Amino acid sequence: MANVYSTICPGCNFGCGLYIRENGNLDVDFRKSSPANSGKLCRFGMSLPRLYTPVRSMVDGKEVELTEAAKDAAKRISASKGSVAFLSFGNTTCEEHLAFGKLGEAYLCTGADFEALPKDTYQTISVGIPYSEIEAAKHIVLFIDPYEQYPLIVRRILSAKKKGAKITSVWWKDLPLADENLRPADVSKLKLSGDSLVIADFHPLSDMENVKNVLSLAKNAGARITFLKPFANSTGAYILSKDAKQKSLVQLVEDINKGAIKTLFCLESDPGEMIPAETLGKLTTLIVQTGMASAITKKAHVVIAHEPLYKKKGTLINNEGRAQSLGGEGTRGLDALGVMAGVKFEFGVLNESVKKTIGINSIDEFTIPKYDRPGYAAPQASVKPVDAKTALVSVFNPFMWFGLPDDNDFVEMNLNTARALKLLKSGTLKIRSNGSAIEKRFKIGPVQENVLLTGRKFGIEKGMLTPVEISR
Amino acid sequence: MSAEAVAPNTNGWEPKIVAFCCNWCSYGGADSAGMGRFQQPPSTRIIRVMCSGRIDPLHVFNAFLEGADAVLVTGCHIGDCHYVNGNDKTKIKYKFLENVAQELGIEKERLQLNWISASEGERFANFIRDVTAQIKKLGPSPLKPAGVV
Amino acid sequence: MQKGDMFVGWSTKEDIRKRGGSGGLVTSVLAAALDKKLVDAVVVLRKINEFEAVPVITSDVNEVLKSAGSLHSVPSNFAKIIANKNLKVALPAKGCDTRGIIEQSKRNAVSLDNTFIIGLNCGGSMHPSVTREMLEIMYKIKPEDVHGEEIEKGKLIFETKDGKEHAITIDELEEKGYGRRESCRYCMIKIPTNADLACGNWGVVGDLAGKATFVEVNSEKGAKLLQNAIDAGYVQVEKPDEKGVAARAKIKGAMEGLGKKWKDKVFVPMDNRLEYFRKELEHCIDCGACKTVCPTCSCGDVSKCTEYHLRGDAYKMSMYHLIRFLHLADSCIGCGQCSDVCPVDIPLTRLYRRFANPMQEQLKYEPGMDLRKPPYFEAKLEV
Ligand SMILES: Cc1cc2nc3c(=O)[nH]c(=O)nc-3n(C[C@H](O)[C@H](O)[C@H](O)COP(=O)(O)OP(=O)(O)OC[C@H]3O[C@@H](n4cnc5c(N)ncnc54)[C@H](O)[C@@H]3O)c2cc1C
Ligand code: SF4
Ligand code: SF4
Ligand code: SF4
Ligand code: SF4
Ligand code: FES
Repeated sequence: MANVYSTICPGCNFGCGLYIRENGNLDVDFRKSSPANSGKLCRFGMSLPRLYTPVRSMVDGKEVELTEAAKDAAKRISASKGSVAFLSFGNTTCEEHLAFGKLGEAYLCTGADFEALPKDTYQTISVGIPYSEIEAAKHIVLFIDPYEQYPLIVRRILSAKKKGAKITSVWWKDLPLADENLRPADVSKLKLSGDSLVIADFHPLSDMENVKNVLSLAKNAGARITFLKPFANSTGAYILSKDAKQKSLVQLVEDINKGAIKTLFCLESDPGEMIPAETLGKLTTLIVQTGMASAITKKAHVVIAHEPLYKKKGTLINNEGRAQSLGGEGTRGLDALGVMAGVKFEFGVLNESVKKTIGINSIDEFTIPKYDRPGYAAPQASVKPVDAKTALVSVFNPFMWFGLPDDNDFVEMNLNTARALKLLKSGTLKIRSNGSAIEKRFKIGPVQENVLLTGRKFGIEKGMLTPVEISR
Repeated sequence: MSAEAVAPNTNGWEPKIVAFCCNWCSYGGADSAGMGRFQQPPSTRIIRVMCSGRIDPLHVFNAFLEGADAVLVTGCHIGDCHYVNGNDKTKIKYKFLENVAQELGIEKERLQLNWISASEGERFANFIRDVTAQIKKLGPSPLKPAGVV
Repeated sequence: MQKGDMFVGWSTKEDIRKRGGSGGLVTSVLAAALDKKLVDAVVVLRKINEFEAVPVITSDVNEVLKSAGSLHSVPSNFAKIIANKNLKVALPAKGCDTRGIIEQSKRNAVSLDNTFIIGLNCGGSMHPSVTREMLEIMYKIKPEDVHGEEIEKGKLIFETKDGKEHAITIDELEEKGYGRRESCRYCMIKIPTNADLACGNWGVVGDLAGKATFVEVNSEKGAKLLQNAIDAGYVQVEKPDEKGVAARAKIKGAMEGLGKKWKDKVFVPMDNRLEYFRKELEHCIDCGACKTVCPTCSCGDVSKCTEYHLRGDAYKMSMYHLIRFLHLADSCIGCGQCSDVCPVDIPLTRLYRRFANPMQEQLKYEPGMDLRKPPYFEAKLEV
């Protein structure tokens, strides 16, 4: 009666399996045999029915058929030849990503700033370490807040801890699971060894100097390192486009700002959360191909609406490099990309090519393919100390990447800081930066003094760490 | 009676006690305790509700989480409820509350039930004094949030 | 046929009888109910492999016939699948499914008049991830090579595709943290007398062992359901062997004794309980899965436990958990679903049972076992 799809959560690259049950509305159901998560889901996974809001194909606000929208997009793309950029963070299948790569060859952006990194680190950045290896580690070092950012890693870390692992966290806030809590400014006190496993993350807004720094820390100590990532198929997208010439997000913003890029095509990617609104406003044409409605589909000149991810057919590669098949049948995304590229993309052909790239004959979610883990030379990093007295730190999480509202309209701060400002219980805090001011509620937590943590975009941020002034 | 009814030695720390009182009986009791000059320690915050049946367990939890050292649930004597059987329902909810508090390991002195009529001012005053003394011995509630004194 | 009658029966379709857990009777009763329009739909598990199946509501007799067989590594609960659907439905149900359905009916989310519950005896189910790991580590066999599995004389036996059998005692497995889910170990409902029919392999002796299902009729609805299947030519039944009836009662008693032992082992008295609960809950990420999955809750999106909990609160214990501890004190059926789905592996069922055990004992209330109103909703305290 009701349709049930076996699918993967698009919230991050963890690769959590679940079922989506269509019965008038959408329900999430637990897929307990799923290898990455044993059926468990985080707050975002539990919110998927809210994320998957239906979207219609549109041209200039008028509803059209998918093919018509794709044809219109194709026209606009060729008219704007030389000034079109193609953006896909990795929120879609490997097969679509391959097709996208062919369409967007001229100016391809996955949001990742590989340009800023030495080539020998690409593989380490792209493919993470199996979770079972994390569970077996003796010393785990966290450069993330696992609870807020990648919640399903928490139980793996706890499992390691149960087996005797020591957990060190380098973060702005004490984490309940850590045995040792260091503040980022004290990273020099961090003791790593060959037994250590470093967990950091990598995403379009990563500070590349920090990324280089953790890479060298790990390298110099002979420690293993794994980078968690925010998009369902980040790993797939990075592996599949490793030979493609890629532009970074920063470069894209610059090119739009200076008028070199006038048309932006986004595949299952919401640049609204990452590219400043005034930059997006400079585009003459915004084309969005997606399976769900969001703030960006309202702004787009052309919306190409294919099926939502859970109805798609295709492969996703999770952070461990595990290839998993989605349980849907839909290939309308490929059809639309074909219309724009002027070729017919066959799912089977692309699927073969995906398997070939990762060196497997068939997709078995229970077996992680073997990946090269090449060594790399410790990159030179110049991490700037924060010079501001007070900083607002953005704790990027799935809700933020997808612009999905969550119950987190507050900042978390230290009790002493709150007392020094004579903040009132249940009152608010004024935060000023870049000439704009906001007023927010606050939550007291074991946070570094003079640091405000937020899991939500307030609109005054400049990257991950924004110097601010605060008052009552 | 009233002469020696001074507040017990405070040791500097005054507990915060939240007393839920129903409009028709126990609030009246609290009122006549005040008017009758039965001295009571300044530890109590009274929250008036129309009937003890209105006291939801979540109000009690909230009081604890916001820093109460003890929470008192009070109302009319059984049979005297002005809404017929509100306090029968209070008894049920209280049983559940008591169970949660006990299993959580919250000392039983910190959560108490008492039926007090409007004319029992002295009884109310004594109740508050006794609870205050008990709580002073126990010290602050383990559920008190950081930063709240 | 009437309440209290016992039979052994089997599917008249040879193929179903072979594929069925113990004679295919349940499958055939479901199919007959659908075929003869006793119900509009049935719930069955759509099997994906030995360790994965997804519950579906279906009116397709073929889908029902395909579902024959017991899956011990599929710890699902069907109560919420049929809640608020207004369906005339029949479904197989372990003790905890049945209890969940009955609790949903008390909360007006299921109409029992329209629900035919075919109870399955249940010695326990296993979490698929744990089973996979157990196969690799304890049995040294690849999960993919497993062909079938059964429990015999206290041993969990896996049959591999090469026809070999691999047996380890359940005690040894559970000692090492494998085997049944913790909640199943101390679950006391081994024969679901609260369902319309109670079906199992216990009590099937002699030549019929493994080829027939023992059925106990628990209600008029149950009698109607079974009679319908007999009349429609889907199943055949006969009177059970005296020895079988006795054996069934004996195993039930032994299982309950084991359950009691586990209960005492898990719920040892504890000091410093507040610290214990706070430590267990400190990793909670507020995902809400434990509430969504709970087969006794029926509040939907707007619920007291969520509406009075804010992520911005910095309380020593979250309002969400406090309210749930209280609301579940009388209603928790110990199904283990909450523990199964908690993303940070909090042993939630163990926590909820800490409150529920003493409360349900004091109130002499067993949720989901009969239609008695939850004590919390009573106007006057009965006990
Ligand atoms: C987890 C589990 C443990 C059991 N333990 C015992 C036991 O200890 N002693 C005993 O006498 N009997 C036990 N049984 C019951 C027994 O295995 C048979 O299901 C029963 O005898 C009926 O057999 P059948 O051939 O008539 O059922 P079938 O015709 O094979 O029909 C079985 C029905 O059960 C459904 N089903 C299968 N797996 C599950 C599941 N995990 N949860 C809910 N529904 C499911 C199927 O969808 C199908 O509709 C257990 C069953 C299960 C599922
Ligand atoms: S957001 Fe990430 S961690 Fe959360 S359920 Fe989705 S994939 Fe899993
Ligand atoms: S715990 Fe209580 S409020 Fe929450 S869903 Fe269950 S019954 Fe509703
Ligand atoms: S609290 Fe947990 S064990 Fe109890 S009924 Fe709900 S899901 Fe089942
Ligand atoms: S399932 Fe676990 S993490 Fe999620 S709300 Fe419940 S206790 Fe918290
Ligand atoms: S009015 Fe006092 S208890 Fe109801």
